[in-house]
Amino acid sequence: MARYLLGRLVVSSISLVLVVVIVFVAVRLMPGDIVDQFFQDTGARPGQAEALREKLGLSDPIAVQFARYLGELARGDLGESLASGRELSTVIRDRTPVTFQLAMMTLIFSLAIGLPLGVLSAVMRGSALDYLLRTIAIGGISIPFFWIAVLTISLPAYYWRWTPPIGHVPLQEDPLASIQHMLAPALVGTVFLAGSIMRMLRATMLEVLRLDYMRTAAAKGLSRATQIRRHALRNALIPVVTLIGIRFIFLLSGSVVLESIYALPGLGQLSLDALSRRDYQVVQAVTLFMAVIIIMTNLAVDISYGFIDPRIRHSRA
Amino acid sequence: MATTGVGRQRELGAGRASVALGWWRAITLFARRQPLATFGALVLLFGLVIAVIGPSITPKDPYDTDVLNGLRSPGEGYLLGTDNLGRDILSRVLVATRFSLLLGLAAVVFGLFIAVLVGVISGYAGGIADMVLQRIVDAAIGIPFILFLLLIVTMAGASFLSIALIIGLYQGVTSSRIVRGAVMSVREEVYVEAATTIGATPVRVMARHVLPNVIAPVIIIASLNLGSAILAESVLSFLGYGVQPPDPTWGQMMGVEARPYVTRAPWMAFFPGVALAVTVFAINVLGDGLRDTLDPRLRGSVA
Amino acid sequence: MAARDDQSEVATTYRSLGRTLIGRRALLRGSVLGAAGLATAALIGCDDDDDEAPPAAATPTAAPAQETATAAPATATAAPATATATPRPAPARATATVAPQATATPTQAATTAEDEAKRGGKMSWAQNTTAHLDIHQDSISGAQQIIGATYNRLVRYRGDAQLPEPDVAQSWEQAGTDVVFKLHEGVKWQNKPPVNGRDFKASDVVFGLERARSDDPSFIHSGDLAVVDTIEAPDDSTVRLTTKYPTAIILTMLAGYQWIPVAPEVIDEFGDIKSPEATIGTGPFIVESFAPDFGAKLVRNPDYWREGLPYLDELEQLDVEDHWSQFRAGNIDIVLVPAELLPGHDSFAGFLESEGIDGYVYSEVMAASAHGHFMNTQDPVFADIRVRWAINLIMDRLPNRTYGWPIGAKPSIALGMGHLAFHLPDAEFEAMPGFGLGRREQDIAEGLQMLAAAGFDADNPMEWRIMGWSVPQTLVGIDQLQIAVDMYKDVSGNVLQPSEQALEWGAWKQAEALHEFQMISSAYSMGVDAHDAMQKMYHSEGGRNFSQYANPDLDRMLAVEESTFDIEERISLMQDMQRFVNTPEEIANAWTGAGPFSYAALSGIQGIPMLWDSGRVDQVYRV
Repeated sequence: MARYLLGRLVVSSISLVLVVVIVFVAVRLMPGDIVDQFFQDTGARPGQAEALREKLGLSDPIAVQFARYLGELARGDLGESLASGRELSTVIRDRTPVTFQLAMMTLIFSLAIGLPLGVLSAVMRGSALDYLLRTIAIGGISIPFFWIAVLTISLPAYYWRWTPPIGHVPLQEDPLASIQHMLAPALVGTVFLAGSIMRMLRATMLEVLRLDYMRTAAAKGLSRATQIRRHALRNALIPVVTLIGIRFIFLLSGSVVLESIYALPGLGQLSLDALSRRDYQVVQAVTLFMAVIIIMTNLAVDISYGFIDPRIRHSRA
Repeated sequence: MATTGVGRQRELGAGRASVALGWWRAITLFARRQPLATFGALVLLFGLVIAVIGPSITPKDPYDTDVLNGLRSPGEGYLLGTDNLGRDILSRVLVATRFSLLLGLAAVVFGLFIAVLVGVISGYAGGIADMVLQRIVDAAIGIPFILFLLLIVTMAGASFLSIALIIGLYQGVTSSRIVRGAVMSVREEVYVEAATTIGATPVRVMARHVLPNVIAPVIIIASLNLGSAILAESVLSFLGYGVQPPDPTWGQMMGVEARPYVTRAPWMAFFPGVALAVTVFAINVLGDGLRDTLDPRLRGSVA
Repeated sequence: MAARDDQSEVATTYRSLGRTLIGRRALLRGSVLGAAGLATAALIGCDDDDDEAPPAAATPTAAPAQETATAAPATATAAPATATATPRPAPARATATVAPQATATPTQAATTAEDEAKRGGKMSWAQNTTAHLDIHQDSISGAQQIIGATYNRLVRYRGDAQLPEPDVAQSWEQAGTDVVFKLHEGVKWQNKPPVNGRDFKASDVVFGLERARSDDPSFIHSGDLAVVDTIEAPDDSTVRLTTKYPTAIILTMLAGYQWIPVAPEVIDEFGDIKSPEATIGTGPFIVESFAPDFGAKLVRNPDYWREGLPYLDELEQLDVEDHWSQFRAGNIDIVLVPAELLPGHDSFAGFLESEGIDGYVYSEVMAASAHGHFMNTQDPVFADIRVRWAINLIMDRLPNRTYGWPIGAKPSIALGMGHLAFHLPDAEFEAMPGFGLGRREQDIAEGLQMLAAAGFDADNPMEWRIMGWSVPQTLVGIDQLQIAVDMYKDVSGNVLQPSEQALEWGAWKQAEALHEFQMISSAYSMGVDAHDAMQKMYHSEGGRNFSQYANPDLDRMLAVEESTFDIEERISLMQDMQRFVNTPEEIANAWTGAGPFSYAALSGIQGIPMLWDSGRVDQVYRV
């Protein structure tokens, strides 16, 4: 087991380094930089823009910048925002709760809707209800969530002069208002995620329901509900856990769009702002931070697999 | 279930005697078993037709601005209303069809190429090559995709080609695992072993025995990736990082164009979104149907 | 974010939302379209050049000036102090400049019963994100209003024009390269450590200005004071500043929000003035708290040197997105009205009515940016003066101008609305070739003839690319581009066949700097002073001379005008230059126009300052 864990850890670290390299190079190849922004209007003294680039380290060759960046990272330093000079670890710490809260609310709603409907769909396989639920699920993953998001604001505003609350209230300040403000974006994200979960759960349930031990359970005379709850669901959930791991990417990435629409000051909004300002350090740090979370999530899923299923532990190590 | 799939495949390929009749029978059989997927196929076909002839059937010039006459609600003269610059939304939705579908197709074709390349090499060669390739795949999966897409597109400059290539590359790398899995399972088959034993070169083995067996997953990946490629491009355009004018895209129309006017002109966001949603829905149900027909074992792996 | 004590009210209040970055977007739009600068900054008219308009490249210089005639009711009730100080004539014909008498003595406004009645209350506004408060080292964040309320400067802008008037300097004498400022008596630093309310001294001004123009490249405003030679304090109440050559515009420059005095001991203690503790001024409000990206709270300075002021007890800046909906939800008291809401309305009153909610009022703030089509005179196509003249004649200025400023736009040459005092009169524009709306047909016919002479007609159309910028999250630049392309095709039959060249802003900035373009369509901020605007665009070495226009005569006219201290004379010289550059032989830029920004404020807020950053926020009160 230790070997397996170690292996996964090494693999994850390699992925992380690759992500850092890709992002680092990409941002530096973009035309224009933050210094252009500072001076875009008033103009600089002769040589001032160059001097500022020098000071910020933007005029060094990419390789040198990268080495320096890695050095900082190794010390646990995410760097500072070029625009504001703020410590990025602080900035990210301030913004993460918003994105995290949105992701969690979306996840909870999605499980609450996706799990029962997925089971229902599998159990009622072939019925009209199954067909309807499957169509709804596929609709959920097909209808662009950002479109729904715009419509939740647009249509009620146009017809009833009302919109769902926009903006953010920190959870610790007023939990109820906070949840209320995030209800709309979380439900919009749920449309996609719940559809995804329904589809996966239905598929795996169908596989499990055919297995021998289900027949055994039936033969033992357990009620249908007990069979499903005790035996089928538990086993069918394993791939769903993986799926959730994968969909975490969606939750984090999707935050860029949802936060932008619902004016939530989270990581997505932060990175959009930084991107348009060419605040390299911020873009890098946020991408890296998200990648760490995604990779850790996947790692956690892998490890939990390892505990659940000994075959994986041995074959993959 | 797996056997049913194989059986179905046999059934589908049964009418070899008369090729035309065989195809017809295969299609009617598919239509009977997968009505929703057939509906999807028809919608998609309709979309493709629009993509081809769209620009010639627009009621108005989709690029013609008339600032003093903007934000007209749907109705007389403008079936779906006008945008803030006074351009006809219906015409723009029609023209945008071509862009979205072509971009999606281009991305998927490129993605398939990558997926097959990476998947086959990784799955067949194994060892170090597999190790290295799989680490790259891990990294790709670990990337927050939308953010990454924004980043690269901003860097490379947003154009049809750059967006299609980047989406394709990402999809290709991430879905190469499915190809790899299929290749690995084939590799263990007796006939492949036999071919190798009698001295067939690896390339020949791959071309003759391995590739034909990954066709089913490839078709399925293609159909399912098409929907997400179109969505990914739309997200990009929605945020205003997409392709540059004068070409309209659905994402751009419902996003960066419409959002300032959401409370005054919901039709600006509504109609392009309908077009996008219907298209992606059609592609997804078709992909689902194809998957169930061709290889139901993949149901779990491609959600 | 704010505590929302009344959720149901919030929920049921109509809000127009759905955009992120409203402020920024509005701002970008402004810049393109030429409106004023930073959203809220402009609202109260802070002159800031490089607000946070990020990729817009064309950052608006918010114009502090406000057109008196259009002032909304709220502003009309300006507090007595300003009312006497600045008698609000028509915006033109300014008075300040050479050694004006300091009429703006605050003590005149001293505590009357009426004043007492105005005391108390709070005002809130919104910003996008504010990273820190060291204005000397920042041009893109949203600290301007906070700084404007916390500090005084030597001079500040008048309420009705982008011209200087006394602030802590009660008077000044300008002669040749010397400017000598006499400071007010009794000015005190705010009562926070380490200054603890000590007396304000001339050396503090010197220290602040020297810091701001430091050689350290992080002090990004230093280029603005390049003309300054020395700054010294002969005694505690005198500041003497010398310039490298005689310049009338140095005072307008110094009125900018960034030229704040700083107490040396603050820098000794904190190193910079980024934190709320280090933000200590002589102004009407004291920074009580500030959290980067979340907002700031300011409280009344009880020891403010202008007696009886400020009226309000508290100011609040919220760093939030979507300012308009925050305003409609009652979370903030004053807001920039997004230009997108205005098309289709003939007037603000009409817009107000369509929104269907009472209780707020409108005011226009004059922006200092203008929109135009800039032709590269070194390009083979545009090297031909006949082509440039034809473009200037044929172009329909209305679509681009109306898009930029749906209400209240005006024709303009190089000057934003903030420089209204220097503008050519409207009637003169109507008579100018290309600008006259009544003469479109003749102008177009003449332009087509000119093009034919240059070799372009329907069989051999003129093809070129118009460059515009594309910035993520807003289409303002692209919309303007498409409007321009369409307009040229429409008005010329098939003779003009331009195409779009939309560049992502980084690439756009580069193309602009290297003159790698044929024609630019954009708005640019037009500087703090009218001279600045004309100089940047038309001087042979001007920083914004994209068309590479070079005429020694105009360079000379600019030099003469800059060293003219009499304001009337300067205005007349500026107008001559505008006429000059719009004569057939000189056309390089085809200007479409300029327009105002409009602000909405709750009608309970009165005496809204035109110049937030000049400390006039002390005159705001609530009823």
